[in-house]
Amino acid sequence: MVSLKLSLRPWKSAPMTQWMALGSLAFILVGFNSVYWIGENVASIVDKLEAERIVTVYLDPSVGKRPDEPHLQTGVIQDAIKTQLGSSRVSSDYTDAATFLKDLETSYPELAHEVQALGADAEWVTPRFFTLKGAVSDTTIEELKKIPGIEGVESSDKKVHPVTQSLKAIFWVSRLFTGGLALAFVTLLFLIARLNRQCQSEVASMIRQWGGTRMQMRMPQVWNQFLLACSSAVLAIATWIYCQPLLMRHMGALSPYLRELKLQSPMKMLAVAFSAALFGWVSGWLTSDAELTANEQ
Amino acid sequence: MIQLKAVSKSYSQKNRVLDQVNLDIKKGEFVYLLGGTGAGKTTLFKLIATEELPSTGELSVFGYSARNSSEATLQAIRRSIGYIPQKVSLISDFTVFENVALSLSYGGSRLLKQEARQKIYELLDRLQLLHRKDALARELSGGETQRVAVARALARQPELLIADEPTGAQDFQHTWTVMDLLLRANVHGMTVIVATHDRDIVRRVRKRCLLLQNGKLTSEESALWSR
Ligand SMILES: Nc1ncnc2c1ncn2[C@@H]1O[C@H](COP(=O)(O)OP(=O)(O)OP(=O)(O)O)[C@@H](O)[C@H]1O
Ligand SMILES: [Mg+2]
Repeated sequence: MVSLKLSLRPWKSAPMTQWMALGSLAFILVGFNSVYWIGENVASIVDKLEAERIVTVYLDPSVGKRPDEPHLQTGVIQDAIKTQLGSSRVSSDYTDAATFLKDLETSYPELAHEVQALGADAEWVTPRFFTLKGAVSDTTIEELKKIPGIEGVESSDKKVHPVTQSLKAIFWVSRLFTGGLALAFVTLLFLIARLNRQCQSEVASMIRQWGGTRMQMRMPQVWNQFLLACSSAVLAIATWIYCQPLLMRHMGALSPYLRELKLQSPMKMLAVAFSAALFGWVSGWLTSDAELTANEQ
Repeated sequence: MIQLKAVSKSYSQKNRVLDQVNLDIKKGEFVYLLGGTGAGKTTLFKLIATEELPSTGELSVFGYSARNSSEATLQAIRRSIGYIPQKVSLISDFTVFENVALSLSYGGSRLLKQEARQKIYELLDRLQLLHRKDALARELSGGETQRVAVARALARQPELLIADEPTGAQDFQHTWTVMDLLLRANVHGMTVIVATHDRDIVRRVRKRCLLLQNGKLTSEESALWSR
């Protein structure tokens, strides 16, 4: 544990620098994790939005009017739609003329009165339709159009298009920041390693003189960097666990689409911490001396 | 124990710091290395301590060739050498005791923990440093720093001690404190090489003398004492 004691010397000689570095590293890690987490969530929301759409299937006005044509009955058509949808999880709602008029009355009362004034002819102008919500593919829509008694099929994918586009933009921006912050973390780690090396290379040449191995020469610097990275990771995780719900609430307030953000899994958090520690070790290894440096001046 | 055959060392092509040095030091000897400043004494010590390799020639320490030995062998050689450098460097934010104890953590001595502690206290006492044992190294005077380096090298109980002007920063009294320790260690079987400018020491304690002049080992005679 001698090398551990030696490794902590920079904390004695320049404590402020080390604390600042620790704080900055933890801060960068929290930033990295937030941006990464947002990007991941946005990507899954985009996937969901792209798969999900609202399809309106309008019935021909003649459906249900002629008892002599058995395939032009509402129930038969509903079964045909269900067959087309198969096992995919799509909800289907039927709106008949009466329900439509009732809905119309609440939002456009005058229009509703005019339609009602038509009397029996009203049935020919009030639409009847099925509303399908869920992942409906383009081919299914084509198949639906072929069912007899269906006047037309309308799909809502154009409506969510702008939303998915802006969410995708958020996704790419978050990826950019993820990369930038990772780079900043590694850079800061190496900068502080270079700074601390001054203090450790003198000890390394002493250890060499006493017959220590190359590993023993490196250890003080490696430990120092490793512990710095580890403690910044621990600090970052603590901050993240505390701040994540807060961040989630703010993001949810930003857009209804962002209300479905999920908490990050602990495994991902651990993976980030583990990589941080690994980079700490590597930065220590690459900046430590396993050979004599003092005489090369 | 130490053999040099036509050893030369140069840092640049123009000047040779050591020039064709032939030398043989036997186990248990006490040897002075004399020579003006810039003669190459420190350089010779760095070679013997296997800190650096000779440019040409054959150097062997404890019977192992410095050039052809594996890294592990060189490490074992270094563990058996106590080196008091001319430019002493201590770990400034460690105490005197910690500085001496630290060198024991990297091999050299096979003492148990309690024994080692006792040994260090004894050495510090001999060097009149016991009252400073908890002082930080950066708070020491030049002479005290040098004596800590003496304690550090001796605590390892090396087979070979090389001391590069170990009394350079000492007053008359402490010069003899240090010399007394080195001579005692030699009596107990340690091979000791001392580089010094102090003719007084050489005259009072008559031992084998080596004289380096401009990188050449010019004479090796006891007649030097009288000069
Ligand atoms: N690393 C080095 N690079 C270049 N030249 C060096 C190096 N080390 C020593 N020298 C040169 O080698 C010569 C001998 O140096 P050395 O330190 O061995 O002398 P010294 O006998 O120990 O002198 P002093 O009594 O002043 O300590 C000097 O001229 C010095 O400038
Ligand atoms: Mg010298």
